Amino acid sequence: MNKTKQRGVALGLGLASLGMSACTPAQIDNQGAVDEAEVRSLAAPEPGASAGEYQRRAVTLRLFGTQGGGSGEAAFATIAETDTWQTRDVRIGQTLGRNLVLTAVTSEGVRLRDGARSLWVPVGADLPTALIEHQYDRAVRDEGDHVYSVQPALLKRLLARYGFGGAAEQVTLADQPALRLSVVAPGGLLQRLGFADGDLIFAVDGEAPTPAGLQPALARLLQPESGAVLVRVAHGHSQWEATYRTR
Amino acid sequence: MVHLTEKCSAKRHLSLRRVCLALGVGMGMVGVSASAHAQSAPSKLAGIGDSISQGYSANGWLGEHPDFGFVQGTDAAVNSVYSRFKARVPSMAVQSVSVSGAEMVGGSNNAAAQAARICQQAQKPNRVVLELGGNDVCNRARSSGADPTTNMYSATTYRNALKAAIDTLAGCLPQGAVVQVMSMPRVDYLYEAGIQRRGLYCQGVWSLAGICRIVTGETNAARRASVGARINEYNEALGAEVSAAQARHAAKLRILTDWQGVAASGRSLGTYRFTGPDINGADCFHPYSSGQRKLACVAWETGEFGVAANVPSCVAQ
Repeated sequence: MNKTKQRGVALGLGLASLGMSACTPAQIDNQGAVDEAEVRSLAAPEPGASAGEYQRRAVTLRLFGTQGGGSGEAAFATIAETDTWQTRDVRIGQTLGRNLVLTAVTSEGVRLRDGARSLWVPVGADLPTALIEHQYDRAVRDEGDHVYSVQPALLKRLLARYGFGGAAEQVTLADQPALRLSVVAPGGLLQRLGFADGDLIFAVDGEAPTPAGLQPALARLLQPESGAVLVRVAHGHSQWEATYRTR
Repeated sequence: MVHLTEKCSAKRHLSLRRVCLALGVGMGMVGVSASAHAQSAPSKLAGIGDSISQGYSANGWLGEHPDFGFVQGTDAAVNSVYSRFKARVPSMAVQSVSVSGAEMVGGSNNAAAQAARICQQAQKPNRVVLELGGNDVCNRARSSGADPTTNMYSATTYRNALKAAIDTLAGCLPQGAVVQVMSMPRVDYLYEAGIQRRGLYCQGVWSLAGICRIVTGETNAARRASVGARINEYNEALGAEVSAAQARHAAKLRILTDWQGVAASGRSLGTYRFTGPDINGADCFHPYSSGQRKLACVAWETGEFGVAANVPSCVAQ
């Protein structure tokens, strides 16, 4: 065990009795800046982005399980970050962060590639590692309980680069007017804000939007002084009010 | 052995508890210890759940109505788990963390994420009721391939998500807390129930709002039954994890479930065959207050103060 790791373990033992969490060795080793060589080895780099636009974030990933094992399109893995327990369903060829790419799925586990490294993760096991993320990836952060924190400056850049990425049609559900999102394009602003095809939007800050008025209504999020924008949305059979807070 | 453990969990009387303790000593050899039965007096209840726990549309109006939720509700028509605790312990408190749209497995409001929010509460509850699973099925895309369950989570995934939640709770709940894990309803029955309830109207709502298309968009009964078979696997995995978690956390928690196996028809949420009158006529999905009342009754009767044999009378109300 190297000295850095020993320090991490010692801190962990000392702070445990105070009910505090210590830096894990992974956090000490993996937090922070990214250099150009690492950017060149990323599985999914942001086109034209410099190393300064990336950040390394220490995480522990847990493989909850796999589905449809094999190399087919049906195979996917369900992976959680243990600090928030937020999960993602990842298919072969898709990435976690910009660096970890899923290369194989079996009923026993998955194989990930991180640059030249190949990692085997059994079902149910934890993987302490680091995700390299572009600043766009953190422009909208899902805080849970339908609360999102957003960075207006980054949203503006995302909008300029990838567009609004959606189309909506007017519908009525149980006598309530709503917009049904008929298209939510991958990478666009709507998808980054957490919307999906088929979602119904009933109100933005209490007002029912028209199809043409949806983008201007959500554009309030591009203004740092907007504070919070409330969107009443239905996904499938559930309806809730999502809160977008600027940070 | 597992069967005996479940029987012990359902017993309330002291004389029976002694029997259970004796059995527990024997079962210690297979990882289930007698200390599993040590529990504190109830003082605060928390719910982990989804829109059902949030009383969505339970009074006939679209939207969340937590007063009608089967765990945290206060409306007399529901006679929630909280109301029943309050009748026994007037100082009983409640602080639910359930979130509409939540899954056992997926997203940022899953069981483990909600468990972590309970751990952040200033006063920790010593009673927790967990009810999730419907969205794990209904949020998955309908498959047009040969296998209608292609897009569904595996039972292993489902179990590991529950394990993460229970282990998180075990890390923060007070000694002697009771965690009750409810099985998930067979949402594949929704298609027939909706047709029975409002026919074409329900088909229109399901299509327009994209409600549980993995079953409501599936006209082939055999394919819907395949989805139901996966739900049975989820509930079996849930029952197995409750037994395993009870052994892991025997010194601290008592962990209960209503699930008694697929064969115990009508004796748990997971084996209750709901029909048209059970679902809301507005959104053709959620239970009305009468359905919430049934849920509360099943949860109570399979909990620490109930009698599991009464469950059939709960759902017959």
